[in-house]
Amino acid sequence: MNTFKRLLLLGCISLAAGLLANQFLNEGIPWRLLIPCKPDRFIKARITYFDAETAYRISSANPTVFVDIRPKTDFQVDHLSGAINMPFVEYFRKPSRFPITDKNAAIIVYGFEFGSKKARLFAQSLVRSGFAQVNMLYPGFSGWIQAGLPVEGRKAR
Amino acid sequence: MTGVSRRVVFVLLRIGFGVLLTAASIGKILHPLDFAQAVDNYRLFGETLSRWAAVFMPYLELLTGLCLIFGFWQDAAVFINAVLMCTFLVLVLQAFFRNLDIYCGCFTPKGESKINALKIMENILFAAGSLVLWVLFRMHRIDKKSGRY
Repeated sequence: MNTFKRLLLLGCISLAAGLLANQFLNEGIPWRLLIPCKPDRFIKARITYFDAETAYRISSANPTVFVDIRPKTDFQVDHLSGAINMPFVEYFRKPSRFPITDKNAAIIVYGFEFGSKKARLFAQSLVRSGFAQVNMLYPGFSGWIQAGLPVEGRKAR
Repeated sequence: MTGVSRRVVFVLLRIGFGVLLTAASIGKILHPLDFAQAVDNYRLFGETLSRWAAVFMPYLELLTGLCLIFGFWQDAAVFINAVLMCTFLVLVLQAFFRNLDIYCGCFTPKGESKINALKIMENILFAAGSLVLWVLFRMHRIDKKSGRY
């Protein structure tokens, strides 16, 4: 086999291994995230970004669902009170598992860190699926804790 | 440099780069989304292409690294190694000159050192080493064909 064929084969094996492994890895990139999307300007404009205090105030005054996109193990340790857990990778592998069916429900998505990219992608995906009130807790769970706002879970006790 | 000492340097460099690539690929394989973010931070490829890079690159690094360590398909592995190292150097250089305050993402997807003069020196060293390896491989092949050893 000549060098060119070997190069081609190494490239193909790497791509195939990468695509396959990422569907099974815990933090893998689901295939849905590999499909190019339309420009996001319209989608981004429909997401509202809240700081921790505003999110807390709004959730106290109106019925709001917090969606925690962190892994289950982190969620079990502590989370925002009343939040539902939908891990990022799990959602992108099977979006039909998303438990909220009311497209007009007010949703606040959060990840762990400030400006979580995963939370942003998650929120964009919800907008694309037709949810009308999608928001993001921009400082993330870490910002919520720093602001001294209440949490629940094993650690909170 | 004699044929034998050239061969020793070649084998040492080959295994060294093999271990380097294999070690660098592990963190990226385990945290592909973080690696995609690190690639996206270079602001060259766009989000989707960065994700494709995060799916493809770590496995290419791993396979190339293993080929270098075990001396399998050396011609292709040495070539890919040189291309990868030179590409990394170009990426780091452009980020440095564009004043991008980002993590390199070379060995671990996050929490590594930021791009600075030291990082550039490191990448120049790797690129130069990989080119030396490629040249040595060519010479080694010529030696072998001419029946010098």
